[in-house]
Amino acid sequence: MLYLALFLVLPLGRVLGEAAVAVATGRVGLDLAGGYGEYILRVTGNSLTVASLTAIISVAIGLPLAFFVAKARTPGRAVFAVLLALPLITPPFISAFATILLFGRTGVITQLLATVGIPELRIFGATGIVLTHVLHFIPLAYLTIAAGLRIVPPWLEEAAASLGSSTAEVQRRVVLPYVAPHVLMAGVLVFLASFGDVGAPLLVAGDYRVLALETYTSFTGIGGDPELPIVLAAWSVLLSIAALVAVKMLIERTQVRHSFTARALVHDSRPLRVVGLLFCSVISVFLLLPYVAIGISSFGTVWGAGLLPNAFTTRNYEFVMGHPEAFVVSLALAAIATPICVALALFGNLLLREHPRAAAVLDYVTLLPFVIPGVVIGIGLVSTYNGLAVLGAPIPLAGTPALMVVAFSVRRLPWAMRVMAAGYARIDSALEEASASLGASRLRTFRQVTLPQLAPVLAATGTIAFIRVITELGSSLVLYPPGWRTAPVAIYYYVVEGFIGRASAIGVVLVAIVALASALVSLDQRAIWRAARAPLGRLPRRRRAVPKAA
Amino acid sequence: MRTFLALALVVIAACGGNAPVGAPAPDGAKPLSGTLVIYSSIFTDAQEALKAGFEKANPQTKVEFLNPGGTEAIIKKLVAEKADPKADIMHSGFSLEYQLAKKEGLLQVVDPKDIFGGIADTLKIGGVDVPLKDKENMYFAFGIQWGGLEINTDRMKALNLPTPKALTDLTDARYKGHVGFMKPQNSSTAFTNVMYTYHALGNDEAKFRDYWAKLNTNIAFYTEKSSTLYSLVAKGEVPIGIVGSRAVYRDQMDGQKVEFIYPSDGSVVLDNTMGLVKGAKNRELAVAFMRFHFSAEGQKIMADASLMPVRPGITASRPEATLEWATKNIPKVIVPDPAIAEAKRADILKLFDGYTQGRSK
Repeated sequence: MLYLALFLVLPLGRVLGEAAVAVATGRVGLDLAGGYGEYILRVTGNSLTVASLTAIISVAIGLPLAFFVAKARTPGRAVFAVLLALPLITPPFISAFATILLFGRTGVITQLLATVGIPELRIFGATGIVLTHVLHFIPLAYLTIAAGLRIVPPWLEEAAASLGSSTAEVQRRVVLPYVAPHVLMAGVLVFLASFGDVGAPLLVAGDYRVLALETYTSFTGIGGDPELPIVLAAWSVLLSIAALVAVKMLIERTQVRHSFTARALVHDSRPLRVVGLLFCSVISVFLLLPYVAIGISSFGTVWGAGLLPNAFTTRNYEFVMGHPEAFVVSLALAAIATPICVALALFGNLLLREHPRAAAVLDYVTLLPFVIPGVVIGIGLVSTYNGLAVLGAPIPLAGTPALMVVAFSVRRLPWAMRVMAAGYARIDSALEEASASLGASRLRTFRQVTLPQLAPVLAATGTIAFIRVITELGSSLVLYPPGWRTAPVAIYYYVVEGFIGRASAIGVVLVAIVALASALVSLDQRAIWRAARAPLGRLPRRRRAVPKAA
Repeated sequence: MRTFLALALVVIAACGGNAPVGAPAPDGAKPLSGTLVIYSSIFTDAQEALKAGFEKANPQTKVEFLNPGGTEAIIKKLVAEKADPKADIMHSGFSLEYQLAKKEGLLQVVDPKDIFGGIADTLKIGGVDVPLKDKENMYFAFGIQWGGLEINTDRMKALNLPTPKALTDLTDARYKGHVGFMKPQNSSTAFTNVMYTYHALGNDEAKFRDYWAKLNTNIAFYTEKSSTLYSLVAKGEVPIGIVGSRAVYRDQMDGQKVEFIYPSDGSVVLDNTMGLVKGAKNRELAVAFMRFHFSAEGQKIMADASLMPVRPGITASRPEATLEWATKNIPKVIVPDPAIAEAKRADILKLFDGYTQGRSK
């Protein structure tokens, strides 16, 4: 609690406080004519437009995708399940430059489409951001909806079918209303992920300014009002808190259905197989195109206006192998931030079990980092801990990697909390009560009874936290000190400086590291994707054994 | 748990400390040692070459570069850290931004004799004196590139667009949506290029505002960083950019179909500059690193990165990136005036806030 208070609540509170003072004293005018009011409303409107479009398109594609993978006997659906989840383990900005390579004015797809008379897309602007985000977040929508489809009670569909409804009618009239909260949740999660992302807009926004981008660039730029970044950050916090309330309501609604869990009905027919295979193949190709482009680019010299790079080379990988510093930094920070994140999740969930009254507050606090952009968390930490001294003694946090560790562990806590919650939910409290009744202290009970039961989920939590930490960009851009450039930051700088091949090679190695980490702990893939999609799921309450009748 | 966390934070904080491992000693008495922290917006390839070159010459030293997001971000970071500076050198970006840093009290005096190594402190190019240092010796230019136009020849051909010859050509309606520029609020290349247009238009405020009002309608978009614009022009995403020469020559060497145009209304001096941070913890090491830039080896690194060396006689992969070529071939040179830049800065940034935040477009 203290850790979260110091490194999450305090920085965000400070951002809100400073912004309130700046606005109240008139230092940052918010009037619509001449002040920043119109500008803030416009960039907020742009963010809402981009996030809404991304959410609608992602859900529109994710819904049938989820059906074909979870509810139909589509050939190769196990393969599709793995392929379709790949974007979730990579940061969106990696695919942003692939968007340029593919769909830019001189992009490969653009050139191919031009041969059949289709005009070029104007990707620098809302189109580019939405396209990049849709390619990246469809899996988030698909996995969330698939989770709902897998728990639709089979007898509902069977009853409807027995009354003469076709498969399509059953899906539309029975299944869709049943999973509506999951569909809505998928939309909200994609919306939030798109709303808070800064990486893709940095590369493809053009002059379509969105809130996360403006917050970051006003923080790094001069001109305008020096307090504008704080006001923009505070506005993001307020919007995020509003979004959080919506997320919490949806979480409650999506959780209700879990008590009816049963094996879902899987449909099978030849037309369904054909359509499913076609649809999943097309979408998989579409989603994986950016990664194919990155893979090709990693072996390219430069990629001009041609369909392929000007020449092929291994020098990008030679460079990466000769300069492993960014990976060493990323791995070192992840090695420290991940256990802290796991420990916070472990003790946070324990606190929730032991103190139900504090649960509601803690539940909200631990979800905050999910909805607040990383850049804003970074700005809050810098603003709070830069030049901080206690009783005249400087606190050496700002300008050190310690603040990055703090940011990473806090920012990725929502995922860790939810995965750990699943572990706690499996614990039978009867065993703990038996231990206590035999005279064991609470500490001993926790160590010898509770912890062993949590062991399997500790590895899962660690892996999820690791994946999320090692791909973090937003807070790193604001916080990284000299000599601590992470792999995502290195990719970002290489991309904006035009070293696309080098950035691609780092991207490929980064994805390989993440995949290897997952494989090393032999984690159930479904657990990873389930947890990676979002901090879904209600936090656990103490599960009590039902007394058996004598 | 709290003990563990506290311990972990202390360990990491200690790891991130930038204190020198050994005290610097007078020249020749003891090898230089320690860790030098440089806030720099210089392109990554030159950064890596400078680090490698200096560390090789001084094996007990370590050079740590940090780019917080451009020269403007460096200034903001140095202001925030003024009470307890973390950086030793403010590096790269152009002299107009150093004028601002100087005004903010972020820099300190360095004796030019300690770093120039016999180089004259002014160059004569295009009949104009190009100063390599601040009058009060607070900042020094170690390499020069030229402001002008980058065009993607293939793309221009495909779009059937004529090659612009002057800055004023860019307001032609045919270029609507085909010109890229950077945000002067975030890019020192952009701010210096804006001052470039101010000077090229005879320092006439009315002409300047009219020019930008027209040009703004032709600009496809403003990028956050100059490097993003170079790579987008090289890719053909936007066929024309108002940029610096260095990246264009580098892209040409990589085989990209780009050309650099020296506009007939003049080419502005984009002087890559550096200064010693006031309160720097490693002054002697920092001065040695600054001196390294002006050595033949340091200047060769600049030349190989297509940044024109300020020391005569340095060869470059591209002949255009030599002092000798520039002296003979650049017809009209514009030196930005720091006094005018400082007087105009607030108004100009406000103007571009309007353009880039979309309020005036």
